[in-house]
Amino acid sequence: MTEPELVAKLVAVVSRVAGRERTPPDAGPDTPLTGGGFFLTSVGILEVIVACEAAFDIAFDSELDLSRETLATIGSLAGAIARKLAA
Amino acid sequence: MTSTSAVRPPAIQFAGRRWSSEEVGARAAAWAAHLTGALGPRPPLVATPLVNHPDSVALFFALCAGPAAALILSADPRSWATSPRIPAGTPLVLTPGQRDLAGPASAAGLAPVVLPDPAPAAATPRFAFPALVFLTSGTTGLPKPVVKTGEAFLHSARATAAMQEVPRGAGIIGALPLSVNYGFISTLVLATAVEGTLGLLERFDHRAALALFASRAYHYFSCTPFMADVLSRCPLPGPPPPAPPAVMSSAGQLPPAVFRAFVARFGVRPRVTYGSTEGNLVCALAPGDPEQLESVGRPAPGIEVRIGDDPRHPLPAGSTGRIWYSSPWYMRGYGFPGALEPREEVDGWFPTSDLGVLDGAGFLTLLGRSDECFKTAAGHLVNPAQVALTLRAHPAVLDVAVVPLATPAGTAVGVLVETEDELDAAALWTHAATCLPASAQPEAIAPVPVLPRFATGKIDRGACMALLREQTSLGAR
Repeated sequence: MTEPELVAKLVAVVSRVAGRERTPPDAGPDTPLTGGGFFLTSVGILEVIVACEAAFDIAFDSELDLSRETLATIGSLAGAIARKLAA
Repeated sequence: MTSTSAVRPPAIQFAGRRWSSEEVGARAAAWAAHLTGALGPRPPLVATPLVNHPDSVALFFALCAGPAAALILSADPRSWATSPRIPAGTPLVLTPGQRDLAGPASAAGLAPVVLPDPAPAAATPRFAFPALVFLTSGTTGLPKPVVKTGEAFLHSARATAAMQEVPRGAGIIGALPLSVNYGFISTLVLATAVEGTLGLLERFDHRAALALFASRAYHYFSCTPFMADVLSRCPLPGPPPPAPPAVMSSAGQLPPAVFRAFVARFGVRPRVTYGSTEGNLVCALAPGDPEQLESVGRPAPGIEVRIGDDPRHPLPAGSTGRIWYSSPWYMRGYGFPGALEPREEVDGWFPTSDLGVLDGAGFLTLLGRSDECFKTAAGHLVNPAQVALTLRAHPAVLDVAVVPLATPAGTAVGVLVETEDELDAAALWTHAATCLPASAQPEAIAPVPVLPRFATGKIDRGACMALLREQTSLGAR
């Protein structure tokens, strides 16, 4: 999977959790998952993590893989997914 | 009830490290000694943002060594606005890791006290819970402080241990936030009461919870419907680990689909509890009770429940009405110590805003509320008036309806916004994110030119819920 393909798939996953009303029209790698982007709450972030595990067939280690920085934007989360897929 | 039991902190398992009871107690004792000088002459109230971290637990026990009542806050300064207001100048005690909250504390009129790194202390004293103040969803817009004795917490937790057959020394999983009354009592206080080990998670995370399950070291796991849902459907790399024998779900009722999925995956039936910030535990399903998806169980030992408009003349079994209960661990009142509102009660019976029905065997089923508050799948009681008040402050909002939104995982906060202009959705989401506490954040906001109303002009909440369901995509997973 190329990086743009991964990002596009991730945007679709996050958009499904956030709902279309909360999805910015130009969502991309720099879009924050929380304020100023998808406005996800902590519950929504957890939903995204579970949805990503299902969509990409991976299992995150919350301490090693999911820092505050990792969960900042679509791009940073895509990077974490790419590392899990490559491992 | 004037005497308070002397207790020791529980041992804590946190982020791969075990903190013994003695270690937590020694840290608490060192900080208690520091606070004796730092707080000055006997303040009546001391606040702390209680977070899921061993340092914060040690700080809580340090406050147990002093005479002041302890006000338990979250670490989110947006949630510090209360009615009545927290008295100006109230000390807010912070662990060294919470020093960033000193600025917001000063801005809120509190007096921040940042603790130093703890000096080694050999003493491992026993502690007595002070009077505790937790915040509950207010009926007039802002959270209300609720004052209970320390013994009320321990008494209620011991009743839970007896009812749920939690043995002495048991492991208790702490995945709920300690700053919330239910999270505090069903994790930290329960682990203290049974002299057990608290498996503390900084925040709920399904992988960490599953790892605690797999360790087989835990007997009791208290969760929200949302947590049970996530654990039931998250991908697993292998066979599911064994769940603790006592899995308790708050928020009154568990969606049947979530209950069935949890049982199918873990072979353990989650049991529902019913309680409140004012009264702690009221009812729960117990081991051996028949499977009932609708019921919240029978009254805990020491509790009695009645149904009707007047508890002195209760309705017979099978009748629907307002829920009242008598309780040995009910709150002392709303407000802060020294300035409490009188409790609403009738001959020792305390009212709730919940409607319910008792069956012939004494099992209680909840049937909604007499006010407009609702509980989300994450376990938070949301006051629509509070959310609406905040959102109406946005200049593009003419009026707003805040209603429960049914999603596959349970209830979320939904908002319909009446607006004349093209609504800048991002600006409104930003306004909500900035001004509302995390527990009250909407999951869906939809603009409409006119809110559905009755002929009287009052907002038709049922029609708003239907309209929001049509307009939002959150219903699908």
